[in-house]
Amino acid sequence: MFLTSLELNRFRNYNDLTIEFSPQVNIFFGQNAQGKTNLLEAIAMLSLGKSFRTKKDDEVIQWGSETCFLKGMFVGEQTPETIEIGIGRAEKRYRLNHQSVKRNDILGQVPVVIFSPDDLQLIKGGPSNRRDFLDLYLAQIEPKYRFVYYNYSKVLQQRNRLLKEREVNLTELEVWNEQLVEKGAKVIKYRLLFIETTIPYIIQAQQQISNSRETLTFEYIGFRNQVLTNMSEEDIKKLLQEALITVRHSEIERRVTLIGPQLDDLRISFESGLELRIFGSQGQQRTATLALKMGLINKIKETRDEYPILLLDDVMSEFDDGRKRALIENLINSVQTFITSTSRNDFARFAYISDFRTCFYEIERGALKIG
Amino acid sequence: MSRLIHELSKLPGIGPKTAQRLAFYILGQPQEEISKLAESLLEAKLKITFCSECGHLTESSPCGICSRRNRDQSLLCIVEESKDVIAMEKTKVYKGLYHVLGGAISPLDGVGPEDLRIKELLVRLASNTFTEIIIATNPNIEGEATALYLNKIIKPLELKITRLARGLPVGGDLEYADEVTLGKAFEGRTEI
Ligand SMILES: Nc1ncnc2c1ncn2[C@@H]1O[C@H](COP(=O)(O)OP(=O)(O)OP(=O)(O)O)[C@@H](O)[C@H]1O
Ligand SMILES: [Mg+2]
Ligand SMILES: [Zn+2]
Repeated sequence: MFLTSLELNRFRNYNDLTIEFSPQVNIFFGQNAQGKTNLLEAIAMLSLGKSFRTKKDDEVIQWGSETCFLKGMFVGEQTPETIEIGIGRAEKRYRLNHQSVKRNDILGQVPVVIFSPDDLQLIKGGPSNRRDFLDLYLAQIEPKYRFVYYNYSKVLQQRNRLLKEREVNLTELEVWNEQLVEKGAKVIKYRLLFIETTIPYIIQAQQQISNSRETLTFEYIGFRNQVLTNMSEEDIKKLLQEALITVRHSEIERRVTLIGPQLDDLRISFESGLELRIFGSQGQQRTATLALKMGLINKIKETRDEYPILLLDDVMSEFDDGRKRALIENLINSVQTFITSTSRNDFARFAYISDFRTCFYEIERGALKIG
Repeated sequence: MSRLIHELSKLPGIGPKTAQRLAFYILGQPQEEISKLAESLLEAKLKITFCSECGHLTESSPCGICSRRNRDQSLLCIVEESKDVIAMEKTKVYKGLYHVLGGAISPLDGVGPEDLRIKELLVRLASNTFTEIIIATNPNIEGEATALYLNKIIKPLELKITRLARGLPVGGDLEYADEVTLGKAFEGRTEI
């Protein structure tokens, strides 16, 4: 499965661009701030229906314009032929094979895995980084999760609004409590299953990279640091119910929902139990980040029977040493890859790249020269 | 323009964005189309009222369904909107009476239980001899919340309460379910 061409109109610093791609390696090079990452962002947007860099979709509209447009053409057995997205200040439109659809319908049609310099935040940053990571890839792998998650976030929004009312109708609150528990437990259960089935791939990748026997442990952390790993949906519901009782007064006081999957975390530790986030060395943290992503690629391949598109933003230096390089070389063999770098020469040491059908694109101020 | 948007955004389920879109659309129409719209709004307001019994839209109250003697007086089906009555009637499966709530619980839209025709419902339940109450709110988050709420307040009356079967498209509206699906959901209703 691969992206054959991309069309951008008034997207970031691209005024009007049409570009065709190699089914294997595509390299965007050029000076800083010319628009390399913008291209990866556009490709990811066609897959995810939203930007991986910002939560405000209309930031991608070119300054001074009111709308922007993206179109991708794909080839593959399970892939749509075209995905189109139009973004305005007030609304967004999505089309799949020329049919108007909702964002949820395009999400996951074309899986992508993104490597970016911010990835280290997955390990070092706050829990929201890890939740977003889980949700993003879960939605790509499990079509049902999009609706489960959507329903939950709807309940959460409704409940938060109710809590903000001057006088909270307690019978009504009970109703939203029941919904929060029901839908929240579903979200958590999906995440647990995803973690459980992805861990083996992550650990395998980690051992390939570091050649160490040491394995990482992954625990899903819920309300008040409870470890929820391996729990049944029924048990999760009970926990959420109890948690709701615990926070009842503070919720009314603070007027916001204080429990639920929107606050949970994924804790990554060494076998000793020490947390990687706190006690890991830079090198260990970087290895783990890479392993997470690599594991994910294999998990996607296993579940969907096709590789995702690979987007590597300024991370080639991560693949310098022999083991990591072997890993990426293997992948590039079978996956369509988009790489950004400030210098074409960066790729000289990656001898393998010349073995593949590689296209170089020089990017300058939102336009390209084919090299 | 901003007045039109403001007026439109007062409508239920219409946020500022949708109101803006509607306003632009309306203004893009030819003059006579807009006149027709304005006239039909007024005419509807003058001619059409809500049935005093069930809350369904009607030209004379009580409505055709409430006043017809051949309807099964022991069944009451609770729906969100008049359009749901119309959807249910199309299935021709149901022969009982209706109660139209006038919406669903949705804090985001400023709709709480007190904004729905729930008091009227309780009055009807007390003065009639229904044997089964069928909750047919939409299969989305707000519809579910409304069903749960109704269940809580009807439960003490010890009436049989049922909910439409789950075969309906989740997240959808009754209105959009085709007749066969809705008919099946109706026949497969379960007690809650
Ligand atoms: N909405 C927008 N409209 C127009 N231009 C924009 C918009 N958003 C960002 N830009 C411009 O895009 C450029 C940044 O592009 P991008 O982030 O892709 O750079 P890059 O080539 O990846 O650089 P680096 O090598 O530093 O990562 C900047 O010049 C910025 O001013
Ligand atoms: Mg960049
Ligand atoms: Zn009536």
